[in-house]
Amino acid sequence: MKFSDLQWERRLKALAGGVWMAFILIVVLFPVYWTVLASVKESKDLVARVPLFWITNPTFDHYLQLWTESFIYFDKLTVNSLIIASSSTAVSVFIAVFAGMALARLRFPGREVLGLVVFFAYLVPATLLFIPLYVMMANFNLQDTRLGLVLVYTSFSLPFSVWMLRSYFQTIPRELEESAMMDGCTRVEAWLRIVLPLAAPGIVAAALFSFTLAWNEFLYAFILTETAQAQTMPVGLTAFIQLDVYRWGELSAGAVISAIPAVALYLLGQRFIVAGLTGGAVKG
Amino acid sequence: MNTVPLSPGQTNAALVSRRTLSRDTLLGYALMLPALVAILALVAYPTFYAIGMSFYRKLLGAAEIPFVGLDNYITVLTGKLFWPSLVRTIVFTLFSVALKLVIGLVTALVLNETWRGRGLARAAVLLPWALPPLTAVLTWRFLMSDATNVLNYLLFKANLIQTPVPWLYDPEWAMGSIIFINVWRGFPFFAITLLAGLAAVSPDLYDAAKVDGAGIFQRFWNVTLPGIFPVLMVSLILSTIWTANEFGGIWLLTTGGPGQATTTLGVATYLVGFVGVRNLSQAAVYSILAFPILIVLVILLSRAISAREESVL
Repeated sequence: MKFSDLQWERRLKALAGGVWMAFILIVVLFPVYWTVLASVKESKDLVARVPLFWITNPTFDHYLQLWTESFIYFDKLTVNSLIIASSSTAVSVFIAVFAGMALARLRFPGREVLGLVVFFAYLVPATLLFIPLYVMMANFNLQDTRLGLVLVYTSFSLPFSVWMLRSYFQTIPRELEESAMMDGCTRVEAWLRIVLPLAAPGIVAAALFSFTLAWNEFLYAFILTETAQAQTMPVGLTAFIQLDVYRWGELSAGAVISAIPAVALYLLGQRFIVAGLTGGAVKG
Repeated sequence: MNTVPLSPGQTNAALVSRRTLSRDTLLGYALMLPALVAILALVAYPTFYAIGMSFYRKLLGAAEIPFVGLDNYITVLTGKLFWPSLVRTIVFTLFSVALKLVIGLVTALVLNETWRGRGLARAAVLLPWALPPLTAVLTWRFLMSDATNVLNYLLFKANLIQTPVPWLYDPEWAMGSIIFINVWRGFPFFAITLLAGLAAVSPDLYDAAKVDGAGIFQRFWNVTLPGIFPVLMVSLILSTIWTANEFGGIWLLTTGGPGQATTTLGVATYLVGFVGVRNLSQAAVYSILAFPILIVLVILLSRAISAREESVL
């Protein structure tokens, strides 16, 4: 009796799980499919009375339009996004390696407090900081400059990287550097030769996530930039929304392009995704 | 942590670390310095700057900045925007986080079973989270647009609705719609972190519960839930902080409208500082008033994390 109960339970569970997963996958994938499809639809098909869920006449006009449209400077937006995201990532991760090492490996007075300061900084959201940061950037004449955005993005990617690296460094056994020190290495040499190479995947993951955070950021870029001089892709693309007129073809094409690096980096960093999402608070 | 038998090398290592104690302190501060300076300049200083600003009247683009004492606080607290925005933020956060948690948990439970194609499904589930907010939000804006009516068309064909739903254009519907889209974007976070939590629950516990004749719901309640509880708390609080402070995901969908229907505190801060009265000092008051809530959440979170670390040990 018990045995068949369990078997029934297993079958029911598989059925319920299958139905749930099918539902979730449709809800998740359909919108993505729709936007990719919209980016290659002809303009007349975009607003067809009966929506088209399949097309046989794909066109890359909207992608071309992004680059040729005179008011959007898509090339500059791309360059700005790349420069700003990679600069803030490089600065943050470089500084974070030092701080992460100190927090993970050294005992010194105030370490706990400093750890909390970093953690708190990681959690302070942009909605609480954007007003004072806007005024500060205006005072330093850093409005509408790439440097301004790089600095502002460091305000979240640095604490994030420190926190994530700290927890990654902690997973590397202390015994390794201790035995290197027994062999005559100084502490810093032991770190450079033993700990850092082992921590390379964690450092790469912190960089991937920092880059994505900066690449996707909207609020700061929205208030701090006005022209193609410093505007990033997410903000610049909104120029295709004029009052209530949405140019869906170009918007979809731009949305697809700006999603490619973010999605690619997430897939690359899958192994670290849980640690990354929680800033190392939960390990994958 | 597993215990390693004490070896001669280790006692020596302990000696080494004792000798370098003061050097550890120096090195520690030196290594922390760049990060600390950056955090002080970019997070701590702006926080205090906002408090300072809130006692003046700094209008967007104005050169003159008169001292006004507590005027801004009085204006904000007695005005018609702050309290309703706070209520809307709570409604938005509560419903959104609760739905993300439930949907994420069920998805994690299904993904935790062994079945073919599970790896692919896991990657697909992650997609809404990986998409830039702009991409995700524009996609839904398109689907819900009354010019294209894609979503209404599908629901109509599926016999779920009789008349078109004004998703983002009606005050009654708009809040529900932005919550739905926020859930769509945010549930993968719960699915993936809870999946990691589930993987850490020992299968022996399930077997023992099965032998004891515990049914599927009893097993969930008595084995699964306690096992993933610490991870669940961490995810819950992180998600609460992020959700309560959503901006782009609301602004790009409704700009806080129709009327004020979707004006949460984050949107209200922007509206006060940059759109309506363009009073940056009053906007700073909005941020400052939200700070105590954040501090409480952060304290809860750091407790949840230390509880989790203890449960692992």
